[in-house]
Amino acid sequence: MGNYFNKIIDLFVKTDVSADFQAEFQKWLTAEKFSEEKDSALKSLWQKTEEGNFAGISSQTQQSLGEVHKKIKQRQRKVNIRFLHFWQVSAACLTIALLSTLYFAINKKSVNADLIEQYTPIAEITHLTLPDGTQVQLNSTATLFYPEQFTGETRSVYLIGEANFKVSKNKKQPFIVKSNDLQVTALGTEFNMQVYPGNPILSTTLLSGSVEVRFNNMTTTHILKPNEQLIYNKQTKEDAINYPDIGDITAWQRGELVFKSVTLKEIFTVLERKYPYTFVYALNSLKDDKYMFRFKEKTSLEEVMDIIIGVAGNIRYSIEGDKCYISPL
Amino acid sequence: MDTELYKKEFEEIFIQHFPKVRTFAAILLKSEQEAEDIAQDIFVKLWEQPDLWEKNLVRNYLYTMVKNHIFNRIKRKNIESKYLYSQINSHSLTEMEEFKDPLNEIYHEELQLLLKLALEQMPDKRRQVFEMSRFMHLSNHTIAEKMDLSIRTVEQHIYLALKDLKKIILIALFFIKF
Repeated sequence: MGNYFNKIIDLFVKTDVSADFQAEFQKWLTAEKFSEEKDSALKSLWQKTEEGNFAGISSQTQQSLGEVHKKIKQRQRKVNIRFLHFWQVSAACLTIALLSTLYFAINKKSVNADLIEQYTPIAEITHLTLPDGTQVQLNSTATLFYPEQFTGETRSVYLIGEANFKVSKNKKQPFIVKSNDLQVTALGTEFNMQVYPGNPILSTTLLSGSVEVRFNNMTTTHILKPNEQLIYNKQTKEDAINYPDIGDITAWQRGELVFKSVTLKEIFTVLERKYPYTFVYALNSLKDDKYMFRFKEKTSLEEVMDIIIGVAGNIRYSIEGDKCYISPL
Repeated sequence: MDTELYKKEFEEIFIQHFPKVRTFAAILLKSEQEAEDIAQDIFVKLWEQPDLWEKNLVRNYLYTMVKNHIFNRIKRKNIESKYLYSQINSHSLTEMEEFKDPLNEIYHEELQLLLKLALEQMPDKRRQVFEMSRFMHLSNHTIAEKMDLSIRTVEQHIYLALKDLKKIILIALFFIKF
């Protein structure tokens, strides 16, 4: 079903369209309605898109490779500056050693490991059980990659977004959740991890047991005790340990919404994941005031917005189609 | 493993996958520059994640990443420029009556997009004539005067425009029904 979607995308690709139509197409593409159908149409376009070949590497690709190497160097320099002189050499050595061990460890076992990709659409939560019995709750718009079988020395999965893990005990095979900026190693334990790509704040909260958190760019590790939360800000590169209310951290799993000292913009970002509406607002129209809210499960977007608007005061909202428009009063 | 080997391994993945990521972003964003930026960002990140270099994983990962990047760009643009988009009133297209179908109600937006795509593909004159006739409801005579064409040419333009539209919609409907 839904070959309208393939057809629209195919035609768009082939047609030299006007700027107006391009904007309209892109808006349609990113709208939540029929997002699964659109995703499968995009996947088939992806599969049709040709890969490069080794025989004839184009000069354009060669040039891009040069650029990428340059950017990688710049990033590494940025990270290295953060270490004291005395640490510099050892940090570099450790990183290389870590990367190579990781590389070998993965390479050895991944010969026929098939990876499964689990994606949770907006406004949903997925429960899944991994091959080792570990229970995972995956929050809206989060993606988890995991192998069909955990065969290596570790049980490694890859997370984008937010999830809660109840890891089954197996001391011989540590459970590792990797993400873009950090990785968490656990033996048998329960923890919540939030690593949404758009959010500069990464957090890992331990509910029980013990975990080790390691940042990919650094050699520092943190061992968390139960009820501790490690926060890392990608922009300021600062980390901190918090002691949050565990009920707040696990609220999303019960469908509740808890906001503690967050700006309206941050609130809307969370609401966009939880409800199938896109928020439309001018960035500079929102102040940086911080708010606290708590909503019960199954609160409708209208109820949530009525309360937020009532408290914030100087704005109003209107819901049309799949958009929620925010404008100043 | 030494750094040279690490680098070589990365470059092989780069040569195989970078053009695909860039092309995919370019055809959806219709901008070579934005596509290049996105593709470079993704591969700079990939350098730090050798655990994702495994054959099957890297394909899934790159697809997810490039899709997220593209969507983020689009969403950011949409917030910056709140444009209004026009609705083609497909009910005014009596010629499209034959496609009335419960499915078309569900896929109303998609049908609209297809119609607009068909219009986008038409030569300028043909599209202008057609829009005047079917959306502005001008008579063939008025259109002929405005555009400085003969009435026969106007009729011919409308006939060809309808043929284009039907071709595109029919192909889509064909796939939906079977």
